[in-house]
Amino acid sequence: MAKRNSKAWRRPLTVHSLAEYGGLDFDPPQSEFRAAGPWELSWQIWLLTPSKKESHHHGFVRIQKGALRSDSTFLLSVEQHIIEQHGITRQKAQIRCRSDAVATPLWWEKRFDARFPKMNRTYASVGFEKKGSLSGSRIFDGALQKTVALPLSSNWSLLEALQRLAAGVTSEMPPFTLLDELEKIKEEQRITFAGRRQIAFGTKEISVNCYRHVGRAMLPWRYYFDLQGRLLIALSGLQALILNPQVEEIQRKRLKRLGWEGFE
Amino acid sequence: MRAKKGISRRTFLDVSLKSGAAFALQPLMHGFAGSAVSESKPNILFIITDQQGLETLSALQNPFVHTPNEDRLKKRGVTFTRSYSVNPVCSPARSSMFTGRMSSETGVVHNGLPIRAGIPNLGQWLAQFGYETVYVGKWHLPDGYATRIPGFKVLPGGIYLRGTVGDRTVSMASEAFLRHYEGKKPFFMVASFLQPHDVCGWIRRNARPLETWPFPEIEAALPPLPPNFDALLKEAKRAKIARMPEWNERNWRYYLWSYYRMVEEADRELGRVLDALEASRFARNTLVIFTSDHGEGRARHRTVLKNFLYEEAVNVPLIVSFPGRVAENKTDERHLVSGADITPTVCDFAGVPAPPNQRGLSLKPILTGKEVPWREFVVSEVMHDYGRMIRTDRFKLIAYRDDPVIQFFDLKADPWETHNLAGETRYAAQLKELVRMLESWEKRLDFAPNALGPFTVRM
Repeated sequence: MAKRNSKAWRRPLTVHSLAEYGGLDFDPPQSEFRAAGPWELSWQIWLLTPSKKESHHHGFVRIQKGALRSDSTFLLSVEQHIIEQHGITRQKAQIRCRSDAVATPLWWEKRFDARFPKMNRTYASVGFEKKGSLSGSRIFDGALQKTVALPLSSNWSLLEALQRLAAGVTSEMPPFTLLDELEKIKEEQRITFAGRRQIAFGTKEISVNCYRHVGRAMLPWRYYFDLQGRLLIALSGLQALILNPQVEEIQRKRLKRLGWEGFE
Repeated sequence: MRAKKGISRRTFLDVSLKSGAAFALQPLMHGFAGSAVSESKPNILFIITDQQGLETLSALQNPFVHTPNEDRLKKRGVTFTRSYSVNPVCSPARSSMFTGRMSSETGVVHNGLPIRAGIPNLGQWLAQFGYETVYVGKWHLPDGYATRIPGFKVLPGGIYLRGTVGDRTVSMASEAFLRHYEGKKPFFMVASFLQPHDVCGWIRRNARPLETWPFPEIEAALPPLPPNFDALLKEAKRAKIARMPEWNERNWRYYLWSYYRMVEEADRELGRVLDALEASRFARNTLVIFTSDHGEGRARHRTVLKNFLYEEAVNVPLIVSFPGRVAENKTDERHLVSGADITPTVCDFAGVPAPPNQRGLSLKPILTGKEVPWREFVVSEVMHDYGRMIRTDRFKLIAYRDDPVIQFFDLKADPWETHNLAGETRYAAQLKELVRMLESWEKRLDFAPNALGPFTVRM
């Protein structure tokens, strides 16, 4: 049994403690960023760990935003890899979003794969593909239809909408419903501006705009954006998303250490 | 592989399917292939959450939580409100659910132990009767997340102590199975979620007194403290109940609010599995059982966590649905039921005999509307086999080995367990009767070598 990581396990996860655990041991991106325009960003999925021996790195999410079309929609391409106890899961999605305050998902395709090297061969791999869409307040999810309270966002498109909000491209975000992973409905979501502050990130002291996010079926999130609107850090409970252009290299190294090469 | 800019929908699918042979979809279907599903035997979907006490469903009139999926299940089936964990700790409770035996018999008297050799689990048992037995998620007998479980084919999913992330895969792997299973055999699938167990880590991370609200916008939505918050009773030394003496009222209410968000998180994952079942061809021929291994303190008696015998830790939700065969939208507040009833109930619906020496009873007669003689009491065990609870229709006794502190409650008059009646002579006869029932029950058990043998109450 690995030694308990009692220090990390015994205090709330904050930007300060995240830095102490080594989660911010690199300088934040300095390049120009336009929240309204096409962009591609990758965030590390970082988790508190119960043992000192375990890596905090548990995967990444990469989101690519396409150009705005004449119908005021854009395409988000999402790829999310998570390292789990015994293997890797991957979700890929394409989401056509309306360029509104919450980046409403209008239609989407999603693919889920899980590969677990040590599992019984029969079910070592599972997966599915599905498509869905929003029409009025009705979600069409394969054979199922569900009614949701509008406006609707999704966990991935929300990051896009938040960056426009933080950059001042949009001025407010109304209460909304979250379609988590394009499947799970989480109601009564609210975003609140929590002020501007200085944080230490790598060797830099930078100004960030902070937002809080509370809602059903999740612990609250705190978001930290640079002054161009780029999401640098998001924290909730025991997890963090950290903007890190090198994250896929970190992922490759972690998989190599685990002996799971070839699963990326 | 990195997606290209400006990719079209069709291209996305093509790229997805062609990218990385390791993730190609067709091989994912291996093991699911086959022909028609048996019509004679039902499929069985057993859904477990971790650390979810009763009264954490919005359909059970809790206004501080919203659980539309568990509510949906409640509407479609029978909900037992007098449902008790055999042992309010993860591994022991699960050992009982999967064997129909008491934890003192399975040998799983605390976390991280395997089921005693010679006692079959439900997977092993049903597999020999022609069931496809599949497990997804937390197992904890002994490994939290096992790659191999006797009697089961294991689907991937889960991260130790981090249900908020790992449960997603549990529900998606379950969905994948329900979408693609084409085997000839009926299936018995377990979808075992970790949430709201993450509250354990939350409590540790938030142990310090709160000076201000960390999220001011939730202040109006904070649940109140329970009526028995200040009911601090004399307890047995071995009880070792987790409390947070440094917390102020703000901490306690923030804890309750956060716990309910984790309950909701589990509900949404459960909903994904129910959606997949509903969209599948198995919807009409699948028995669904939903329960939790144990409860959570929820500030009652100023407790957090589990591993003790007050109602908040032992009383858990149990819902059973089966379209056309089990009553819909019915709440059973009469029958005393136990986690040990899962195994005989599953076997009864599957049309197979239950494993020998069952301590549980099949709920099928109750679920199908038959009046049958029923048990007078349920027993729960705890704390490395040192503690016992026995409850009847009205009374409840809590005792620990070699400890003179006995707790005795009249649950009809005092459902919040605020007055210990053990010292009151007017209840001496009822107390004596519960002791007799418990000690008589104990004599029938086949104790594991690492258990402590028949329990006797020190009066």
